[in-house]
Amino acid sequence: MTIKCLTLGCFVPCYHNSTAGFKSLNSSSALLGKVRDEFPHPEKKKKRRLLNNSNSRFWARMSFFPPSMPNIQTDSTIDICVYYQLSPIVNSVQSYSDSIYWYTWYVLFSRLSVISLHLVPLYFPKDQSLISHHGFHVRCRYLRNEFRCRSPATGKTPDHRSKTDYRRFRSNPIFRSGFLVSVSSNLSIKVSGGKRHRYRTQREYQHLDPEPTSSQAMEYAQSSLSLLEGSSEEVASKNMINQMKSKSTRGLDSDILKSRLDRVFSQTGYDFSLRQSISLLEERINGKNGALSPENDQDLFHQEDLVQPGPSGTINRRKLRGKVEEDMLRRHFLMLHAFQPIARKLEYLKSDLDDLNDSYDGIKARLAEEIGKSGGVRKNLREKVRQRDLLAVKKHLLTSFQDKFMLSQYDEHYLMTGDIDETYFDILQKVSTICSNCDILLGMDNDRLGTFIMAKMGSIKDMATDRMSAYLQKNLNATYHQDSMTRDSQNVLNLQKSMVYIRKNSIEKFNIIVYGLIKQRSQALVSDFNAQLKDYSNAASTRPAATFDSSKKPLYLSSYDSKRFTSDVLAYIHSTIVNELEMVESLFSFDQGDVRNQDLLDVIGVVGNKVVDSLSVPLKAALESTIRQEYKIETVVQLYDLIDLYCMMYGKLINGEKSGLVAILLQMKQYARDRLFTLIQERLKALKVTSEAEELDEGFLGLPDWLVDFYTDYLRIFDSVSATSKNSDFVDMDSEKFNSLCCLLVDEPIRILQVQAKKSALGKQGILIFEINAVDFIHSKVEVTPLLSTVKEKYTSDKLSELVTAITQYQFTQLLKNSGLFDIYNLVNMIFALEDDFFDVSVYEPITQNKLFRADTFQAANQKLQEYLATYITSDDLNKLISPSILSAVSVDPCVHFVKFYHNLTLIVAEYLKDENGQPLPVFQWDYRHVATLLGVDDSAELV
Amino acid sequence: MLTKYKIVFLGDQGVGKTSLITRFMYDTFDSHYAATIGIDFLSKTMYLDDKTIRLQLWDTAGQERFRSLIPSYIRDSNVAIVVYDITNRDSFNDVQKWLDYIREERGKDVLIILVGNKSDLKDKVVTSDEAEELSKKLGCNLFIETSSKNGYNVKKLFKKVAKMLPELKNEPTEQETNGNNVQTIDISTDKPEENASSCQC
Repeated sequence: MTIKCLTLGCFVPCYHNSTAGFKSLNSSSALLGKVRDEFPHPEKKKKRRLLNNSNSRFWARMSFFPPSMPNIQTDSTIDICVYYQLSPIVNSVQSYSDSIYWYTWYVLFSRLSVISLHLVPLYFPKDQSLISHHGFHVRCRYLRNEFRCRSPATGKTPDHRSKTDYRRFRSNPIFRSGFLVSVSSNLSIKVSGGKRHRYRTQREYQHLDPEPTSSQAMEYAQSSLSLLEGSSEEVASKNMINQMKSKSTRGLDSDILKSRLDRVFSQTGYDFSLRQSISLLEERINGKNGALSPENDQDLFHQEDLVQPGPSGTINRRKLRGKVEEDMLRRHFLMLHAFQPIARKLEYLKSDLDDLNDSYDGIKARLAEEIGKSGGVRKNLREKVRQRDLLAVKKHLLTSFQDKFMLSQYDEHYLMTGDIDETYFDILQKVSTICSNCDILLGMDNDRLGTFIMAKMGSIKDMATDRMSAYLQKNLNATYHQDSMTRDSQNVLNLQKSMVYIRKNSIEKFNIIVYGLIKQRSQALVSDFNAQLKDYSNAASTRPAATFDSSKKPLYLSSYDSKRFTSDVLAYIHSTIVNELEMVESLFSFDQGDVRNQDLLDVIGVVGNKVVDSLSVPLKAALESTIRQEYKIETVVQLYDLIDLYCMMYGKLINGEKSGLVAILLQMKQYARDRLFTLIQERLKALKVTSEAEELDEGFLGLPDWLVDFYTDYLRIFDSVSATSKNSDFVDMDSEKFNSLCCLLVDEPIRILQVQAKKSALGKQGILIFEINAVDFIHSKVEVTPLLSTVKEKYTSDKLSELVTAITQYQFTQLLKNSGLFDIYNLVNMIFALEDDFFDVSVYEPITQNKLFRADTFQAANQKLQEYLATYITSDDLNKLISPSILSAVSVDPCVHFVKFYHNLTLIVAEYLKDENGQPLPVFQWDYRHVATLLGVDDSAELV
Repeated sequence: MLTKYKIVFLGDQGVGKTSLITRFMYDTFDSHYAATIGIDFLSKTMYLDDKTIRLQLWDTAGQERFRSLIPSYIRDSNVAIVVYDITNRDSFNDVQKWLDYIREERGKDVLIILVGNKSDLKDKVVTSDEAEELSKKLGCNLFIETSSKNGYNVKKLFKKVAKMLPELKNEPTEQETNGNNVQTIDISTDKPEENASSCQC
């Protein structure tokens, strides 16, 4: 059988310097170790280390489990608890009392089955080790009640504290009673229990049959328990003494004592310590102040009597022993007496506990009786409980069904009449959940219930959608008008949730709502816009611009200026777009709440674009009217640029590809472009008519006024075009369109000029001069106009060159004809062209065969030449040419050509025109130098 | 009640109108010049001590070819901020022309702010004194020198403007009551620059 034993104790201060002391400690520790082997303790290793350190000062720790440790109280696996009180350190009385207290405490409150209190009062002065084999012997050396402590190592007297401790030790009645020796010599564990313990655990631990290993310890424990039971002090004391006396005869072997005493007083194996102890006892017993002072001389103690052989010695020794034990028990009794109040209190509690137990038993009995009587009731009750549980299950089922598939009356009422707020949407969410839950019902064999619920929920959703639709139509526009900061965020959130819900459940209704919003906003915008236009019209028609008060003038321009008007209109719409987009973005801003629907973000753009698009029609009307009424071509181009600029600016704010407003602007651009062509064409058409009716002054042959005005007005359209611009930079025209425009600006006027010249009464030279002047003017305009020069400069230049060549040829021909050499010139050129650089007279020998090659022909020509050249220099026909460069060219080139011809002709005539004698005939009076001088050609020598 | 106020920025090309607005709006500065095409729009809500206002900022182009657009935006604006470059005398000389535009369109029913921008540059050719004198002469309500590059006085400008705005609606302007009483702001540059990141609006 294994018994789990728990040992408890207190500190033992021990100053070790002898082998005997170590053995003694080791022996007692072995006892503890034996116990601990069955009940391991964490202090075990430390304990062993301390014990094995035999050459040093150490503290042997004997206390393992403090009484307050809860596991001691509750651990039911512990069978035995041994309180091993070795020695109080300073105040032995207090430690001893503590031992009793803790023992009592364990008995009362712990579950330990067997508890043995083994008290071993012991004191170890710091300089004295009182150790012997198998027990503790105090070997104290003191004289006249003074304790002199001396360290075995240093030989010095210990400090004052040690002396004080020793005085306390000496005042300890236990020590003085001699109990110390008698008890410590029987160190062992007694497995026993007191009365209280037996009362509590005798049934549970009756299998325990402890065998006392130390009768004295057992007796001592029993005596202690007897004291605790609260018997009278005297009776307890007497009983304890009697027990001690009676048991002592059984527990002590006189032979052992005898042998020991013999060993003490024998010459060999003399035990000085024992003798010294006995001497101390003798002095203590026989002394006047001793604790064991005898009442008469017969009680005097002499150590010689102890060693007497025979019965007298035995009697003396037993007497001594009895005295010591009596004194110890008396002192013990006095100490236990301090615990008597506690015992009384416990006894008082015992009576209360007994009453409680009795009451408990009575109640239990009556309860059993009542239970027996109420069998039928209980059966009925069980049935009722079963029915109740069944009903609870049914109720739970119905409640669950109602929660999952039905709306409460409150919910339905709220959906029909309540405000559209968070609660409303929570109920709608519940409706949606019910609809989704109906899939289970529809999957059953009988789907009527599911169908019914689905239909009902569908009707509720339709009703809710209608309500939200009405709510949105009523409040959306009002909220739309509000400033973003004054809007109720919760209201906006509800509106957004409503829109999300309706869009999710009924796209048609959503579109209707959005359409309604757009319509309302569009109407408001159009109304404002028309009001502005009306103000403008009224202001423009009723009051002159200069009289407008600047503080009261309408939104648009106070003076009639189509460009400014258009700018104001477009700026107004620009501001309107900005305001509308800010409003719609703030309305559909999802920064608040938990509404997150990407679809509604698209709505922002749609609503913004649609609302702004409502201005498309009035804007188109306004712009179209403005452009149509504008007759200044440069203004039309400026309007075009303005519209183009705003088209870009609007595109930054709204989606240009989807915006009707931007589309209108694009249309207006096209309209302005067309208007540009229309204006030019109409002007040219008018010019054609007016030019035909215009009479040209033959004496002037200058530029017609219409031509100057035309280019003055129309070439301004290119003023805003830079030199590096491309054709496409001008009103976004492609090449074909721009060429058409250039033709209108250049070709058509030239054509009109030609028609006008042909229909005039001018001669050929006059027509040429007129055309040269006009084309030269056009060319000069084209040349300096960006974009136009790239297309038409070459054309005008060629045209001008052609005209100049024509008039030059005409002038040369006139020289030949007027000098009578026209036929001769043709004759010579027929033989070999004179224009070539090569000239050889011999080449022209065939001329002699022509009948015109006669002297009279050349003489007549000479006569005409002299008459013509005499007045040629004074003629001013060519001076009507405006361009000096052209005038110079036309004046000089024919003369130079004529001089060259005349020089060559004189050479030919000198070679082949001879008289009958073969001598040359002098038919020309002037040589070529004279002719050149008369024609105004300088450096004639270089010409030939 | 949140009120919207329209502020139009005027000034020659390259004086820093767009940079001024960008500094105010985004607290950033882009050293790369990009000419404004037409009119740009930005808006910002400002929270004053006791009220909240929303500023609509209309950034005009300084190029001559866009000059015809500007009167249409001055017409219904509450504030006209005329910006000149303190390192560009011509831009300062054109202030008079911009003031003429404003007066022609709005008369005296508008707050006019004269702003000398680019105060961070050292080659200053327009002194603060002569600018202040001109602002008094032209009847500007406020004159201030700013730097869009380092944010100097930018927020102060808009705060001042914002605080002057509500008065515009209910009370006659100070100018109207006291004549050419121009409110000036200390523009000495030796003061520590305001923290560009301490925007409270």
